[in-house]
Amino acid sequence: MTSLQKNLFYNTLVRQFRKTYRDAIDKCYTICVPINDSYESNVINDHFMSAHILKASPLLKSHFVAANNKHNFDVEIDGQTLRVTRVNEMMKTYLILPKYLDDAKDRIKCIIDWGYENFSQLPSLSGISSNDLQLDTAIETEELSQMEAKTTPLEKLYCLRKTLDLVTQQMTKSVEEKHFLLPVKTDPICIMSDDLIAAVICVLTSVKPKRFESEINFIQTFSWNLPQNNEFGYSSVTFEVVKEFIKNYDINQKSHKTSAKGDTKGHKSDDNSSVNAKHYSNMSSPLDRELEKISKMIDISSISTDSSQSTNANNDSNDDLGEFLGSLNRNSFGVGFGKQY
Amino acid sequence: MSSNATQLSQQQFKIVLLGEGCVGKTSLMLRYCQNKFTENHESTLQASFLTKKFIINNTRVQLSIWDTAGQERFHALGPIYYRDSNGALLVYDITDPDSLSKVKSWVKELRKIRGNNVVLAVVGNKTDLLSPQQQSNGADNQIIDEAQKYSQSVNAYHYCTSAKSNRGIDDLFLDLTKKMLAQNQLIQEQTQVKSRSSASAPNQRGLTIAADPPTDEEEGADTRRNKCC
Repeated sequence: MTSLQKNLFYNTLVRQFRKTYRDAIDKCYTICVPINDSYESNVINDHFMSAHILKASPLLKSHFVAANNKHNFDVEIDGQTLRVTRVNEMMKTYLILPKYLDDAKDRIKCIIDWGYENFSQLPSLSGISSNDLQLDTAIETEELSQMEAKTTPLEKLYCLRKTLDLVTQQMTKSVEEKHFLLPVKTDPICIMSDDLIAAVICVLTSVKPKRFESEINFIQTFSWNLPQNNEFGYSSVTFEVVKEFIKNYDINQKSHKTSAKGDTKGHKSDDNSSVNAKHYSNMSSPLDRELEKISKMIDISSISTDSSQSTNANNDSNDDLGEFLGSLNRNSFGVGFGKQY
Repeated sequence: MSSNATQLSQQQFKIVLLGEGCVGKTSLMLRYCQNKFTENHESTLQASFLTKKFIINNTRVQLSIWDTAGQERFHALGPIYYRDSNGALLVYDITDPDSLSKVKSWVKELRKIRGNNVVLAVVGNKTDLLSPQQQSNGADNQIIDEAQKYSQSVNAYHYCTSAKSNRGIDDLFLDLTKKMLAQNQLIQEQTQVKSRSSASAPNQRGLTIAADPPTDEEEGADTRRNKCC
């Protein structure tokens, strides 16, 4: 944290809002000084300043209100925690009477509007959806497709590592852009193995690198002289885990479930399976086939999610086909992703 | 300066981090490694692989801490992470008995795969949630008691930490490193003894030609051959 002498808010208050500052000092008001970078510098104006000059609440102990009475909020100081609230104030001081329900309604609406305006963009990790994690595959494609052209295990391994770095960067960007819009400095968010694996699977399904399994096997077989206990080793293991996960992912169970659900979809699924069987027979390895299937599942799932005119059948297929990404999303992206320290 | 540097031996250890969700694995890992990264750490979010370097007993040590995929769906893939690991941190939440049961299953798996080559540390995290009395008494907690007894029974070491209040974490890693160094030393000694005993074996040049006794078929074939000739 920067010292008070280097604090932008404090310096602006002392130099440009001298009268307000003097007044606050004379009347022994409490000045709440926000740290640098917790707000945009262009928001500093008279309104912003006055919202940070507080006086003791006439009603509640340890509570403060804006000194100029023009801001309708309540600040509670609990040890080192600062809570800005309006609901509490109303709950504690407002008595709802039958004839004043309209007034109560208006006040609550006012609080909701205020809360929505101020907190609607608060970070919401649990609300991260698969769409938010659509990674910029252009960069990863480049790295992964280059891997085939490389000759040595080290060169190939470098491509994997670079891909992981890019995936991490992309996830970071995505979280920062979509879920941490408030300019409040928060604790670092950590991307852990579960999140990384899920993201790499998503990337692979869209990139569909050629002979992925062979490439991984080649790297592992011929990397005996490369150090395993570093970032390269970690990258190699992560991709190996991804490879094994895709290979062992049981899609047949899901398709069986789909066909067993109802006769109405029987024809459709039969048609699909015959087409798929033809298509998959042209693929080079079992892993490629699984990758293709998962990729198709995700595609269908996203199409049905995007479509506003989805039918019941579409919803069913979304439930089943999107199970893979959906489950990752619920369990990995929803909870684990962006674990906050 | 340079002469000092050359005197130091170097050791690299791989530590895998295991634990159910929400037991505080990430916090533990970051709390320990953040001292090194300090301000720069915020620029990176990749926390699944972190390293820590320090010097202990004239040995330059580098710990690579690998976060493992802990979700049930990735459970079968755990052994890929355990490969070549020297130590394992099995973290449980001292307020959640289920997290300890999970630790037990991981211990079994690790012992099955790595045998006694891995040093196991069972870590009860979130001690800040204990009452002040329990904190002062140390083991006055049923889950911790159980974990301690279990750790002894499986030749693992038990530690209590609080990532939140930064308690016990440095000691945990330091102690684990000492144990891994000792383990390495032991393995080296055992290897030396083996090689020495094989080298000192009388009338042997390290090559033994073992001839299988002839089977009935071969004997029959021999007699047939003899007959032909």
